[in-house]
Amino acid sequence: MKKKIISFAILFIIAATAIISGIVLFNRKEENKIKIWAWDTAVTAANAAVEKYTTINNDIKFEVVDMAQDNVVQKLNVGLASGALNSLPDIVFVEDYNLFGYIKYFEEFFVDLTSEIDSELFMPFKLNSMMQDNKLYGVPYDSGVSTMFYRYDYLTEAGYTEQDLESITWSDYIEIGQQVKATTGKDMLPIILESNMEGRIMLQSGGEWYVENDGTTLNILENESLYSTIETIKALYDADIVYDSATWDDMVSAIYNGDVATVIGACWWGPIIKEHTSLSGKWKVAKLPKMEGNSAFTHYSNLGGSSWVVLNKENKNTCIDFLKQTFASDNELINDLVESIGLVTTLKNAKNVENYNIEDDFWGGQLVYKQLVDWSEYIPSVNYGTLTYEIDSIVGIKIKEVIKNGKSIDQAIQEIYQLASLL
Amino acid sequence: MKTKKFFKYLILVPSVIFVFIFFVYPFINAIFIAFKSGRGSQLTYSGFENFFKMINDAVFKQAFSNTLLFAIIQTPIMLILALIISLCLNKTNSKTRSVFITILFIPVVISPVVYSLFFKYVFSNNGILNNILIQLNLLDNGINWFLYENYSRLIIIIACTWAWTGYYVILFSSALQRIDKNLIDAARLDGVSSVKIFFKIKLAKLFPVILFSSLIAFCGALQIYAESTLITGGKPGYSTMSLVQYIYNLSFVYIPQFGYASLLSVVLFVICISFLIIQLIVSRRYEKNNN
Repeated sequence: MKKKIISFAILFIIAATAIISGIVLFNRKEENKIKIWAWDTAVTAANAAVEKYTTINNDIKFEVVDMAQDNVVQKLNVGLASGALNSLPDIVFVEDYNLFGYIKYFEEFFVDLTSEIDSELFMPFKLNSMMQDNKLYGVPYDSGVSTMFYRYDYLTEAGYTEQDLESITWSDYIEIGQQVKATTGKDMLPIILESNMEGRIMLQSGGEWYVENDGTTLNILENESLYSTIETIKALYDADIVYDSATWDDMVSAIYNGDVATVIGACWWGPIIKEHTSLSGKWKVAKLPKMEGNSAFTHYSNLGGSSWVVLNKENKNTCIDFLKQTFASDNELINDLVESIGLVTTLKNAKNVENYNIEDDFWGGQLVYKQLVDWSEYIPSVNYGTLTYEIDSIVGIKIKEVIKNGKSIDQAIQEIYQLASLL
Repeated sequence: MKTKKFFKYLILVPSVIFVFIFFVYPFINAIFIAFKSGRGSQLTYSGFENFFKMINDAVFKQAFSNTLLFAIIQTPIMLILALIISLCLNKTNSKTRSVFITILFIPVVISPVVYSLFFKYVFSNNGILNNILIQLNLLDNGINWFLYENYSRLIIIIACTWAWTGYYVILFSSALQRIDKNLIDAARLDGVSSVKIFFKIKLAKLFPVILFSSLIAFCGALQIYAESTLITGGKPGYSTMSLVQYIYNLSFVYIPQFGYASLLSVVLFVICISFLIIQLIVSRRYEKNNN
């Protein structure tokens, strides 16, 4: 009998705790804070923006949550698909490659900013992927403007001057690469074939993407830029000037160890290279090499880059005001961020802020950030569409098959099309 | 008497509710969702569309065959290794045995994330293995292991084997301990060879444990996720992508296709269940023969 009473008592306690904690959890009134999700340096940027904004509006509370990009994507996917908006923040940082997919499939969850934010304030290449039916759903943030970072010392040793690297084509680049390899023994550039970062850069420099401007119609079979991209990467491998990497770590250590003479990448390589202070004075930048064969091909491109979007929740008006006062207008904030995190802005007015004109000894006195922000304006506009990463993983694999297994480019493009149309 | 019975069921209620809410309901729901297609929240009933998609999906086929390959190769290697180790340990005294078993069991309790990163580091271009091979003058330049399909698969198999062998050593060792020593001594006295003793007595006595282990190991290998995601990321190509990793990608990495992902989960479930049924049939038959 005694045992029974004890068991009943335990059962009762467990049940009571469960019920009470359930009630407490469901009725918990969260303090009305504006939550922002971001990653990496965008967290610093968001915190700086919050600090500036709250000095004027000190009654509004913010919480900036630092999360890995993969986690943001995963939580956003689940939260949006299940319609559980209360599990999501008020403002979220979204990579442009993913942005159109969210707008297309979850339009009702995002705030239309058309009447609040003037899209004319931003560089045009950012806008296509965040607009649907002429409605603007994001506030553009950073540029992923792409460039050629190069080892000044290696290229000098191989007999090239800064002028020789201005506005070159990929065939010039290959010729230089072979000369560099002959004199210094160093490979010209590191590539992780399957990540297809260089491929994406080349593709957009040709003014096209995997999809048409509507964001959904595949643009693969007749895509001249894609054909040229694969052809160029193949030529780089054929010339034997590529440092073949398997992982990101390989690539970074190749740069730090001085195994490569250039990096073809987005502006965010700048801070990564600069982290290794012993490389000071050795690196410079030049315009991206251009593909040949079509007048639409340019020296300008973009890789990555992200924007801020507002979720359709009760605090949306405050969020809009916050973004309007900070990332959509505040040159002073951008100026601070240039110094603290090396931001390459896409806010047109901010491209002349003071810090872009300060010489940096690391880059041998070259006004690297000034150039990057200037080039950003010429980046061809494309709509990244809903399937960027899905198609890109196929493209990466097929390019690899062209290079390693000798598959023809036409065959590869056919296969990319077939696989992509099944997505 | 009646209250006692009632009380028994009352005690069961919380766990039954728990199982229903968190296992049965989601599973049944997944079966329904498997017949819906579309992305994000735009799911609509589409009959067998997902099924036809699966049949034509090259990535699914590749992920499926990778997973099966992992399971078919890794399970026997691991179990044979565990068997050999436990047979060796069986000869030692109990103190040595427990020390070795503890050491072998450490990987089991280490998080897959930790050992996956460790393996990634060991086999990376500037990793420990390449450094050792270069130091020994076996190589001039390091091999970029992760660029090759078969090396990448091998690394995953090594990692899984490393992590889980200890678990099966414990199972086998305790089963070996339970074998009646008199039986073996009697066989020896009768002049039965060691080989025969091993096959006819030890292995026969171990058979149920081996059967159970092979099922657990096989189903575990079919559900491999952390290793393939963290060590190789499913690369190169899709050569190391596992089925669970593909399901994860479909649900959480890209704009979600929960319908299709649910179908694949159900397929994986059916595969695991079929192996369970095969195991049950085999063990029933074994018991029948023994009796």
